[in-house]
Amino acid sequence: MTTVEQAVGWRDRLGEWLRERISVAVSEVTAAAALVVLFVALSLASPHFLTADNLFNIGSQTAVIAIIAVAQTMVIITKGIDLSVGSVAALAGVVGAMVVRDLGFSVWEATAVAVGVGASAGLVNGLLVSLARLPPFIATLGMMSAARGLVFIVTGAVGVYSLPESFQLLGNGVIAGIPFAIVVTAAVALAAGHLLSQSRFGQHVYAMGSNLEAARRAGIPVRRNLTAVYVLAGVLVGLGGMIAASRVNSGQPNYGIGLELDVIAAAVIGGASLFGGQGRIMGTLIGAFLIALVRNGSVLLGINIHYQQLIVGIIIWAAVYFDQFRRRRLESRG
Amino acid sequence: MAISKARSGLAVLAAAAAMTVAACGGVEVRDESGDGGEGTTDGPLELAVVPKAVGHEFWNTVRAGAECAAERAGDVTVEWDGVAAETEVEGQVNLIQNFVTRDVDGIVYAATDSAALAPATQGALDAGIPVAMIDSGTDPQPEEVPLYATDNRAGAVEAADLLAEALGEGDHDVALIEFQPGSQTNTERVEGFTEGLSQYENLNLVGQQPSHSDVNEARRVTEDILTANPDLAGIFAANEPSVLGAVQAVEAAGRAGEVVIIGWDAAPDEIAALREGQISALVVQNPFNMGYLGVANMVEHLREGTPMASADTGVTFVTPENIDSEEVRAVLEPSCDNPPVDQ
Amino acid sequence: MSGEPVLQARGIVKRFGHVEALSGADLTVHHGEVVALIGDNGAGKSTLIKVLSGVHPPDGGEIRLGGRAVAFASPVDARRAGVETVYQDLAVADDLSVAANLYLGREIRRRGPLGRIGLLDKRAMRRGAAEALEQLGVRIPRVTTPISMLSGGQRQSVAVARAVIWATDVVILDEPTAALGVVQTRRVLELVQRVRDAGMSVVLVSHNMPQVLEVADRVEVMRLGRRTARFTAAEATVDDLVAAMTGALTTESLD
Ligand SMILES: Nc1ncnc2c1ncn2[C@@H]1O[C@H](COP(=O)(O)OP(=O)(O)OP(=O)(O)O)[C@@H](O)[C@H]1O
Ligand SMILES: [Mg+2]
Repeated sequence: MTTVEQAVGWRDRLGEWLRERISVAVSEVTAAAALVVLFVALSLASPHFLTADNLFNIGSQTAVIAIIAVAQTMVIITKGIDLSVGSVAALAGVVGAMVVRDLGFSVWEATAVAVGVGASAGLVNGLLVSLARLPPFIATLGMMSAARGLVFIVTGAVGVYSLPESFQLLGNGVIAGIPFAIVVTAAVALAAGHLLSQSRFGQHVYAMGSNLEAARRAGIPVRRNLTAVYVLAGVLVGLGGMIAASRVNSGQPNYGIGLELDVIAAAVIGGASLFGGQGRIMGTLIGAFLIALVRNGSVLLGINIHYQQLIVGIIIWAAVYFDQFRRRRLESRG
Repeated sequence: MAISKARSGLAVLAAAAAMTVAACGGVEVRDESGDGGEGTTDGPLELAVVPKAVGHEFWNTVRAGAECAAERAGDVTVEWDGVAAETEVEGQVNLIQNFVTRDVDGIVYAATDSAALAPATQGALDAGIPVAMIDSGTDPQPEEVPLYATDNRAGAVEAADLLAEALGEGDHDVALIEFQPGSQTNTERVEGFTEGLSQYENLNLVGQQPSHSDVNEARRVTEDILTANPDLAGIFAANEPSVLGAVQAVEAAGRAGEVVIIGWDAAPDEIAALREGQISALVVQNPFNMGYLGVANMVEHLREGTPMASADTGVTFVTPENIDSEEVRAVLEPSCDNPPVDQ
Repeated sequence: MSGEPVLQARGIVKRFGHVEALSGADLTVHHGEVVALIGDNGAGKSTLIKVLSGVHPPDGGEIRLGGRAVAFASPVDARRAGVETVYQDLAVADDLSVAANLYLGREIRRRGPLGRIGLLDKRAMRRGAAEALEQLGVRIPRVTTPISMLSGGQRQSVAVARAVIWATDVVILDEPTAALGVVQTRRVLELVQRVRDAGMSVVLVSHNMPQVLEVADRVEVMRLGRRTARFTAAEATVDDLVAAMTGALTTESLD
């Protein structure tokens, strides 16, 4: 077989390779750059920013959003969306708090229960999407309402209070000088990142989001995998809800209203595409921390809340613009 | 052209007349079923009582007051329903409209947004359903609609006094955790507190952030304020979730007892924190009284035709010293046996 | 071309609601031959191929593979039986790399316990993909490039390569050269011949008549959901094929 392409020099090849890597991760790279810029700017602007206490604070404050954003990222990669994360997190949180208060469970047993609650909600979401074939938006919209309803039913619309001090271990505990919530977040991100990028399951999740029919024809059990993604997301949402409850030592029926928007924003800023097939845990973490830095920085510098929201909105626009820009360029090449 | 215009104008007039007649007919039917004349009603009453949002201790106490008044009046049913979050203004508008459609006898509610709910109140009145507001009114508020509420501004001014008293002489940095920027209650408390604070030159407001009535959010902003202001000496947190989040943040920063917290409301965990010394004083409203006065006056209006008049439901300043007194106990643990209301 | 056909379809019926895409379609493929399947747009070629490869269950008729009746419940069944297909829509995952697409559904896992929990041996797949493409003469810059960054022709080459790499008996290609330039087309046709030389059979759907006559051993013509004519390529002309496609000529008895 004759080859027509000219052999190219290694320099050109390296350049090509670099360009390819960068365009694959352009949103991630941009978001990371923005994060670094913001980090440096805040370090210069506020003497209190670059302190261990503040950084640990930011980490703990962002733990719940980051964990749930990881869950959202997995769902978004399948071309889905999970609108129910806020309600399910609240449900897991209040149930976790109630089993401690009413049944005397330990915080760890309660965490298992909360994770179970999240997984069950995820299973229902997953079956609605994969078996009943509801669009994810609709399936999880229903769950968003149903789970919130359950929260009010089980709590009688009253916060779950009077919990023992030990309930705070998960959200406020410290291990080797590092807040436990940060350790848990790091572990979750590492595991989820590996699952997505290194495992066969992860590979199939990307394939399904990229081209469901192709995945099906390649023999990938798409329904089972889709269900599994929603269950896994539910597990993380349940864990996140429990950490949130533990951090404020109470089960809050109103927790998580609007949380879905924060985590979708984090995922999208980090390069996940609502068209499916794209998104990485690293990017999502960067997105979550970018939002967190904007919020932390605004308080440190005494900037009004309304400007924070404005800035986050602009960041979302910029991120999605980069995503579209990349797509358009690829399409014009293809 | 001119003729057809005149005709269509006539048609509109005719339709309006028909509707007026129909509306009057409706009122007349109501009148006949009552004892006539004043538009009063006998027999069982069904009242809609709508909080700003379900899910907080405060509103459950309002409910208890409303149900207590209903029980005492006899033959009154309280239909309790509300949206999930104070931010669901739209949802509350629809809820009120649904109660109007259901033709309840009266509506007692707290507006999540003073402007947005004004048309809903007017709609109920137009349908012949009397309205009483509790906790938060509308703007404009029709003359015949009373408001049973805390004087938030006066309470917040006193919160500033309490903070100043607790901090004593010398210069101090203080912070304010508000809850829902734009809501009337929030605005009144913020304005009252800043007004009260302006009396004290030694108090310096260094941070002001909203919690959006979310404990986690309250904790986050308080942590960040503490980081930015290591010398912070006092905090006024303006509602239950804001207080709980502030307490958590101060404790997590290892500064419990050093930073004076003046709170608002009286959730069990707030009371516990007060007893443990993490909170110096709580401004406690009388939500029981709001629900009670709203329903009691509404029933009297429907049955006797008495016009409803607005009233201040009062606040109590709860401190570790007075928490066990009889008077404070009645406010904190209200029950229908010993209701914290002037009878 | 004697002996039992490798792949034989008889009287295949497939309906989509009211549309009857196949109304008794036949196809015969012998060992080691290239059969061109031609027909006008909408004749039912792609539908027949999807039935043969297990994507659509047929509503009637019989498929025999090596003389035995088979019923493919899914594309996986067909592939297990040695039938690989390149679909008209390619069925590649744009966001995955070339290597990942070549191994889609048949990933290589790591050895040992890490593999058992599902971890991939990405390096082995990259190496395998690069070697296979090299052997097939498919020029792709890097196997780590996502499909979305390839040209239309390169994508088609990857899809063809995937089928060829895994096939053991039959390779079905639905318009594999539709988007290709002259050079790339030539390469795919050479590939088809190499596959046949390796002893496999090829079903090639194409609208390019000269190309069909050049590479195919036999030609089968479909019209309105059934087979209407069969030719030996060496004895047929482009005019014959066109006449058969438009219905002016039939060689089959149509009952
Ligand atoms: N999934 C489907 N649902 C409904 N109708 C379909 C479906 N797939 C194919 N058809 C119909 O079946 C008929 C045959 O289509 P098919 O794609 O098999 O034609 P083809 O011979 O491959 O045409 P082309 O040369 O344009 O690719 C057409 O009328 C088409 O509209
Ligand atoms: Mg076709």
